[in-house]
Amino acid sequence: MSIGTHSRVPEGDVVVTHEDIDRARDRAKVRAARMTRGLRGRAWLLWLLIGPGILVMLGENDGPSMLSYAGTGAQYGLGFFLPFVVLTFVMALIVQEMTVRLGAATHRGHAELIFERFGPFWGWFSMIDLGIGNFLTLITEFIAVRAGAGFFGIPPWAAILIALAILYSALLSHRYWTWERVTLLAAAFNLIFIPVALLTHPHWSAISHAFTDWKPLPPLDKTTVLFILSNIGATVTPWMLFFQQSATVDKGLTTRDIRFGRLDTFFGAALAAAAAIGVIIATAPLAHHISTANFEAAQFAQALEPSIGHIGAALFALGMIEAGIVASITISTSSAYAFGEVARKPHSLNLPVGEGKSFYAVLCLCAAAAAGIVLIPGLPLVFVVLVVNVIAVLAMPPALVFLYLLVNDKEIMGGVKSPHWANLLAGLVVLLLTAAGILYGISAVAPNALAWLGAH
Amino acid sequence: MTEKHEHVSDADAGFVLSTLEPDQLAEAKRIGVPRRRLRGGELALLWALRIYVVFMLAIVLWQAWIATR
Repeated sequence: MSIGTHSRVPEGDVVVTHEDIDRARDRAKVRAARMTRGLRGRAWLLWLLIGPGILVMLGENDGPSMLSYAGTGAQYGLGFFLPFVVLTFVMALIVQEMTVRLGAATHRGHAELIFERFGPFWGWFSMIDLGIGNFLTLITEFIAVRAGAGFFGIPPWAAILIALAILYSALLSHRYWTWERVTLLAAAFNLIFIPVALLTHPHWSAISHAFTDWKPLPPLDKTTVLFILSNIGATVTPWMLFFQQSATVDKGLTTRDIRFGRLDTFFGAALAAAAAIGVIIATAPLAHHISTANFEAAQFAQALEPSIGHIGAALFALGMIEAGIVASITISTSSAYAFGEVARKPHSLNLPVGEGKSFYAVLCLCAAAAAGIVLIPGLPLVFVVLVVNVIAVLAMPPALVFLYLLVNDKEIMGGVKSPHWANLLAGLVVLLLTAAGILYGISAVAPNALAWLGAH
Repeated sequence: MTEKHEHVSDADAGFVLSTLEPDQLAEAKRIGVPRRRLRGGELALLWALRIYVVFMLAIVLWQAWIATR
């Protein structure tokens, strides 16, 4: 960090912890890879430095996101929403790149920086947004797991217990590196939606037509606006900012690694966009044949069975389970990081349980509470699924303003302060998100005005 | 600057200090980042967006309540 890199470290004793040793071991490997010349050295370095970007992007391809994409495909088929989803991932890329720079330059988490730089008043606002958003989203992850498992006849309690067991076992090593690789392996299953899409024998000419001229356009009505917001909320959300910055810090990235952090984020966005487009293509055959209102994952899989067979439908349901499990891991970790940063408690996946009791307790309790809620009979879970992506879009503009202020803060960013082009793109993203939110407000309060807008 | 470690050998401590940047040490993170005063325009923007979030959230909850009835 530029601010007092030397002065802030105490002049007296330096305390070295196990967390530091684990991080130093990872960094020593990076140093060794940097000294290896040629393509092998570059490839090794890339392998060591990728992680947070791919995890955050595939993690955001979560239960409600995949349901949004599935609903989009089933409602509108192949058209406007295919390139639109790519656009949302470009927005995510612009935003997440800033968190890489911020984490690498300051070695501080996002919540910590907002609290310390702007004070607890604004810090608590951000934390409330994050806390509510994360908890509601966590609930929907377990809804997706339960719904996906329902396709295989697995009872809800067993599905939830399996998901929790996977989440907790990823933590057993108490090593960031191992946790990251285990979660990356699980996240790779997100790409299962691509073969599912291919099983539908897609209309390639319609797909290329959609990407070249964004047509056919959907009507500008309340449903379309809701799908626009859901698709944005499926890609750009506040937890992603907090998670990627904290993971960048926990991984130990420095300003020398920013280029690789960008590549990591780009690969993540590309893979996640491919999976999201896969879901839209996979569910496109359902367009105009079914009503997608309150549709759950298992029902999508069942509805797809006639066109893609039992194996294809099973893969779709498996993909939903995976999306829920991976996102429950990343989102509960994001909550635990933020809590530790704000409460000034140790917060790292490199911590042994004894040294990181509060960190692991928050992580495990958040997941357990969300999982428990899903099992309570009679709760309006559809309500949560409906609002979660929309709330994410609405909470994003204030979160982005804090991010913008931080990455332009020369005192903490030094030489990696945001360039003008990055600021311009970030400003455009804030404008787009705010405009989408206002459009949603108009569609809800004055649907006639929306019809007038559509006609003109 | 002297070195103190909790159940960590001198060799490990030396390795850590030579490998990590000073700000990457867990101990260094206990020291806060200096506060920055927000300017008038920044405060106005943050308040405007805060009002926007609260207002829009009320609409979302109202719409979701209607949808689930």
